[in-house]
Formats: sequence, C-alpha cells, structure tokens
Amino acid sequence: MRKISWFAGVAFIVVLVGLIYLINSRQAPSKSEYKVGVFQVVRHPVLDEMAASFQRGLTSRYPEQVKFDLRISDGDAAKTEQIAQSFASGNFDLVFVIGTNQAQSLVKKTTTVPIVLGGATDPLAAGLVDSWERPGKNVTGTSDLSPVGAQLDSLKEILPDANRVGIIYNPSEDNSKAILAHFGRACADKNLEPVSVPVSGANELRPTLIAVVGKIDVLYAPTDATVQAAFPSLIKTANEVNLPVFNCDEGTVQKGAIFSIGFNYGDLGTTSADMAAAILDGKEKPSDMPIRLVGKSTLYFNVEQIKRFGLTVPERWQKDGKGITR
Amino acid sequence: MNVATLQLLYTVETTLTLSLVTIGVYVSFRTLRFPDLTGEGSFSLSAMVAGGVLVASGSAWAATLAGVATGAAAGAVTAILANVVRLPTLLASILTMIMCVSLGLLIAGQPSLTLPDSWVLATVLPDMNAILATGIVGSTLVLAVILFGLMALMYTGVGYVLRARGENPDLVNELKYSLLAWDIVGLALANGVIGLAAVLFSQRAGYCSINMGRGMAINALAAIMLGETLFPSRTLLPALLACVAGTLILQLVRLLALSLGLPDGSLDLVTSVIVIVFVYVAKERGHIGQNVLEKIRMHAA
Repeated sequence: MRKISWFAGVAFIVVLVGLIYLINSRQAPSKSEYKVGVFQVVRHPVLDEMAASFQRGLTSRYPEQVKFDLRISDGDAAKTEQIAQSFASGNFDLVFVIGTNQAQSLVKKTTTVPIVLGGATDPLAAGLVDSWERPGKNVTGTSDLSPVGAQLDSLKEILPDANRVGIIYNPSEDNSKAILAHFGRACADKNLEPVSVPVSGANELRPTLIAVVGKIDVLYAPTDATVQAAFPSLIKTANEVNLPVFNCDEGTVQKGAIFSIGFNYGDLGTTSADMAAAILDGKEKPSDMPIRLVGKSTLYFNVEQIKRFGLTVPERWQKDGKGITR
Repeated sequence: MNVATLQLLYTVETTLTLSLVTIGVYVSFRTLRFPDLTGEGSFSLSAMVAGGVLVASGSAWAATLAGVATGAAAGAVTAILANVVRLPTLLASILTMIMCVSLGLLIAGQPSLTLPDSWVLATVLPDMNAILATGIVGSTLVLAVILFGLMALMYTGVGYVLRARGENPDLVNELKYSLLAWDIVGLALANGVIGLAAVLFSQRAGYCSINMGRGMAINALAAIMLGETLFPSRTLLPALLACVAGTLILQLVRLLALSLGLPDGSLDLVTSVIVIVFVYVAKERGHIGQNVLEKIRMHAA
C-alpha cells in the first residue's frame, strides 16, 4: 500500500499563508492616496455604468490620488462574505457598495469604514440605516427608488382607458419586492388595478407573457435585473401579443417600450461620488448624510411603438419629453 | 493587527462554518454513497426559515433549531423521492433542491430577510468582546461537537447500518433493514448539518437570501475531493479533518486570488488555476520536498 502522507497538503497551506503575507506586505498604502473599494453584486451594464461614473467622479476630484479596488461577488454568498471581509480588514478609506445583500454583509464586519450605497432601493427596509434622513451609522448613499407615481401619470396620459397594469418581476430579487409595494400603493392612489406577473428567470419571460394575454392592458417593467437584462426579448414577445410596455429607465425606450421615465444610473454614480468626496474630505459624516434620490428624471417615448399600437403622443410629451424614432 | 493576519482570521472563521457543509455533503456522498445535491437548496431554505423564525421570535436558539430541522426535512424528502417514487438519486436531490427555493420564497414572502443582531454563538459565549473571537471560538466548538457526535454515531449500531448502506446496500436489504428508513436517517443527518451551517453563516452575514445556497454543495464537493487528494486518509476522523482542510485550502486560494488584486471577473479562473498548479506540483513533484525533509531529519538524527 502506498505510504500515506499529508506533507503535500500541509505544504500547500503553508505556502498559501506565506504568499498571502508576502503580497499584503508589498502593498503598503501610501499616506497621500485614498484607497476606495467598489463592491458590486453582479456585472450588469446599468450597474457597471454606475460604478464607472462613481470612479470618474472621484478621479476627477482627486487626480492620481485615489486607488480603486473593484470586486464583484457574482451574487455568490460565500464570495460575498469573503469580499466583505477583505474590504473590512484592508485599510480602505471608503467602500462604494452596489447591492443590498453585499451592503448588509459589509455592515456586519465594520462600523468604522464609511460605506456609500449606490442605488439601494430601500435601505431602511434592508436595515442598513436608521432613517432616510439620518442614517445614524457608517452608511449613506443614493437610492434608485423609481418615480412610480410619475410613470403612472404618464401612462394615464397615453392610455387613458388602461386599467389593469401588469408588473413583471423576478420574486427572488430584493429590489423588485420593494418596487412592488410602491407600485401597489401608487396604483391604488390612481385607481388602477395592479396585476403581478412573476417570472423566475429570463427563459420564463415568453411563456409567462403569453399566459397573461387578455388579463392585463399594459405591462410595466420595473428596475428588476432579470427583466431588464432580457428586455429585448420581452419586447419581441409583447409586440407579438400586442401588449404595450412601459419602462423605468433611460436607455430602454429605443428597445421598444412605448415610454420610459427613470434615472440615468450614471447620475446615481456621480451623486454617490459627490457624497463620497464629502466624506473623504472629512466635511461630513455618513451618519448625518440623508439618503439621496436623484431628482432629475426624464420622459422618453418611442414614436414608432406608439404608432404601432394606434396611439397618439400626448401634447405635454412633445414639450417635456424626448421622442425617439428608431 | 496587520491586514494579512486579520484576513486570515476571517478566512479561518468562514472555513469553520463552511466545513459543516463539506461534512454534510461528505456524509451523503461518501458514507451513504448517495449523490445528493439537496444541500444547494436546503442551505437556502434553512437560512430563510431560521431567518423568519429569528425575525418573528427574536430567539437565536429557536431559529437554529428551526434551521436544522428544515435541513433534515429536506434531506428526508430526497430520500423519500429516491426510494418511494424511485427517482434516480441525483434527480431526486435536484428536484428537492429547486422545491426548496420555491418553498423559501413562499414561506418568507420575500427573496431575502435582514436579520436582527442576534447570533446563536454570541449567546453561548456572552463574555467575548470581539466579534471575530466569538466567531472563531464558537465555530470551532460547534465543529468539534459535530465531529465528535458523528464519530460517536458512526461506531454505534446506527452508524454501522449507515456505513453498510454505502458499502453494500444489498446486505442492508438482506438483513431486512429498510433502505428508505436508513436513507431518511442518513440524508436528514447530512442536511441537518448543512442546515446548521446555513444558520451560522446567515446570522454572521446579517441577512439570509434565497440564493444563499447557490454553489455551496458544489464547492463542498470540490473541498471533499481536494481534501482526499492532498490529505489521503484510511479512517473516518482523518477523512473528516481532510474535509475541513480541503475547505480551508479553497478559501485560502480565494483569498490569495483576491489579494493579488487582479482584474475582476478573473477570480474564479485564478482560483482554479492556483488549485490545479498546486495539486500538480504536490502530487507529481512532492517527493522533492519530501526528500529534502528526510535529509534534514537524518541530519538532525
């Protein structure tokens, strides 16, 4: 029988630990520069844009003085823990966090490193802050809570007879849960009937849409990563079954929503960078900085899609909105 | 404390918790020889149920019990699907896994819960003032209790039947033991331990989410096999310790890859490459190091 030895395994562990010490000792941070972490839940064009404009915002303020460390957890829980640990223990001056669970995990590891949230939908419900106005801990940032009221007002302008408004979302996404509650309340205010249309993944979009034909008059696509990532295929099916769709962000109206009102995620990143700079300069403390919503939201409408459904562009839209022809 | 030490301590803490998943998966895959991926789902479901109980009752202990019971129940369901419905074992476990995700959403009503500052380990060790110390000491105790309990169990009548179930199911059948009953016992045990890991992990992380278990069982399998490759063992206790060592190595490699500061997205690739290179060197070139060690030993003598 072959001799049993744990030499290889033990040697492996020793070498790993040695390398970790070696690498960390070589990265002595210089005092004159800021070390800023960026902790992102998954790669996604919209989130990437937010992270990039955050970095641009800080770089333009502190040219060559700020070093970024971008880490993406791919939504994996074990990886999220480990990345949160490395941010909490790595002498970071500030961490910009995109993702609710990621922020929750990091908050448990540090009460001192300032954390700036990028587009958290409801940081209060997530237990990240004590209140929207006075966060109270080492956490502040921006929220991407959609202007649902404004979206529904515009819906009434273009489709005055629409009553049953479907909202398509993935129930395993946190943000969508928060939006769903807001959407329900806003619909009640405006005498509309909300109909929830859950999908468990991008592959379910088509069968789900086909199943709700005749049950809804119009479909709302909220800030849901699954829905937004599959938006082009959503529109393809919706067009086939003659279902108008309205959306919540800036870019998607070209892809076939009849209209869309929302933030530019780049603006959220820039606003977050402003807040981060105030913290890095020592001017403000996260505990006293209110969560900011980006006030500016623009109405975009797709002239061709509107024609396709036999609708007319409301007069106000010509003035306040931006028409897009593909 | 310097950065590397702090990061290593954190890694040890996570390893101690995730080792429980590895041990649970070891029990089903190696002891029962039942290919079981239930853990991917039972981890999420246990975390969600325990989270719900914690939010509702405020009792970390009640939450822990609920989490363990949930995991055990999920394991039992897989055993029933495999033995009564006679599904192939892997299919049975995959079905349970996806049912767990659905159930978690239905029970909690939302995809993730924020947990109050209540941690079962902190109730056992109330006098520790540092969170990290509580985590390391507490997780070590839990792991020791589980290891001791498993060892004790495996040398009782129950343990012998469970091991026979893996080694020679025909014998178990001939001796008129019910395969169904013993699969239920074995898988409930395995997934109960995984449920415990889920409770500890989520209470420490401060949230539980329906996606929490994603990759857990697969990573545990990798840890088992890495442990078996680098820490070959003939008896049970060393084999279980090899599970812990395998988990530790995977976590350390991930930390190393993180500290290298490579472009994001390359993390998994780098992790895998480091493992492959090290295992190759250890297996194929390990004798060089061993020879050096022998020489040093001879000189010393």
